[in-house]
Amino acid sequence: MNAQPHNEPLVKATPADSLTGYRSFSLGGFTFTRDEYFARVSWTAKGRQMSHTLSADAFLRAMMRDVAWGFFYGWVNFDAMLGTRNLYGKVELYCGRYYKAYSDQGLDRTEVFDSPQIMATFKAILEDWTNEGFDPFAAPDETSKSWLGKKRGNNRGAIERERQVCKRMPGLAGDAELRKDANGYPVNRAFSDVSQEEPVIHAEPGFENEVHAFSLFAYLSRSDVTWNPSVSSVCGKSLFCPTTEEYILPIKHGNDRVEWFIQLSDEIEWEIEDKNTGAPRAKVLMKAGDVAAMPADIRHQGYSHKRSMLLVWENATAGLPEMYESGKLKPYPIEF
Amino acid sequence: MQWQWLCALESLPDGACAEISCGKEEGAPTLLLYRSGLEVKAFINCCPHFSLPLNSRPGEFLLMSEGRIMCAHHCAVFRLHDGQCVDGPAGNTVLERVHVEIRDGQVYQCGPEEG
Repeated sequence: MNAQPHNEPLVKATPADSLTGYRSFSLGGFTFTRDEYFARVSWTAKGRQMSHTLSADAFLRAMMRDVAWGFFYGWVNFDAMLGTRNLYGKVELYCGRYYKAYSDQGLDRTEVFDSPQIMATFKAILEDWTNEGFDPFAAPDETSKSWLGKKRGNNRGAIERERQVCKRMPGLAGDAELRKDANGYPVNRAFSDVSQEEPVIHAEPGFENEVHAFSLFAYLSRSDVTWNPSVSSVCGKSLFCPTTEEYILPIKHGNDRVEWFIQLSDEIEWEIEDKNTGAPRAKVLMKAGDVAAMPADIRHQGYSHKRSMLLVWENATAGLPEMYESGKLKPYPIEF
Repeated sequence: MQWQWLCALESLPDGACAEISCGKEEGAPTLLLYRSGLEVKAFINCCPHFSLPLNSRPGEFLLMSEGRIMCAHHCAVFRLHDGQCVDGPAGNTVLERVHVEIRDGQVYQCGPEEG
């Protein structure tokens, strides 16, 4: 039982910089700053001031996913150095922990925060550092380069977009709506040839709310974000999370469970690395119709040369991470 | 109607949440009880985002100020007075409400007659 609520987390931030207009933020022993081009994370290790620099657009695209996914399953690596691990109620923030040159020398830093505290700080960073006109969810061809330069306004409308979820399936009475022009989801420029016909359902009387179908291709052709799965069917703990992908997955996702990928259209190249060391493990080219199980002990990053459709099949069974960590479950679903 | 005893009101501190078992079947969802003064709200302990419990450890919830709760899994935030999602990845969803009543200092769940 929780006797006391968490105090509303205070976000620690400086006033806007007089030159760039951006604020700096601190979270535990980490400091986040940005300038016209770069985001920088700083910390102290062994008495030395350490820092890590990322391009500001790459940082914002990664931060957008971490915030929108609520730290997701397992590890969200912004790059080889910086990332978060969801401990479900708490979140680990690290820099250098999984980068051997830093961790071997003890120059990395890892801290654990209550989820509300780190979420509030990440949202504040995203809100302050995202300029008007830049959409971190969009493909590069679909947004401006206004991430560059000094602070100019904000883009709250884009960064506060809700992830689409459903109770059972979109289109059912009382459930999420199907995507249409009328509710703000025009067909994406890459999918103008996708049929918009919907299946016709003839349900026995009394089963009208039990039998349902919709065109997943039509639904996905109207996706307005990239690398951001929505939930499109819920059956027990089985979740279908389809998404459209273009350019580079802005994070390297380290799984804490097996994820199944089904390539529905076009192609994605996946780079697969060891979750802990980043050592290359495989390169996978998935073509339309291919199915892959991403093991529970890897991190992966995808490259999609044109917008493609991917179905991510998630297992939401409680306690899975512990079963994989303890070795009770093998990190892959089958052995050859 | 059938009334099922859940807990004594005094066992729930004001402003606190508790997790109560309510089903006999394996995997049955638990109930989330929240006390505000002399009122108790109850919800099915299931976040509409990924249909997971709101807590990751038994009985431990991420209570926030102003009577809000954060799902431990992906940080969706809900108002406890009506279950409405107000932030995070669960969109415009609502926690499923369960009708409870307080009688003589005891909290009961109201459900349909069995059989």
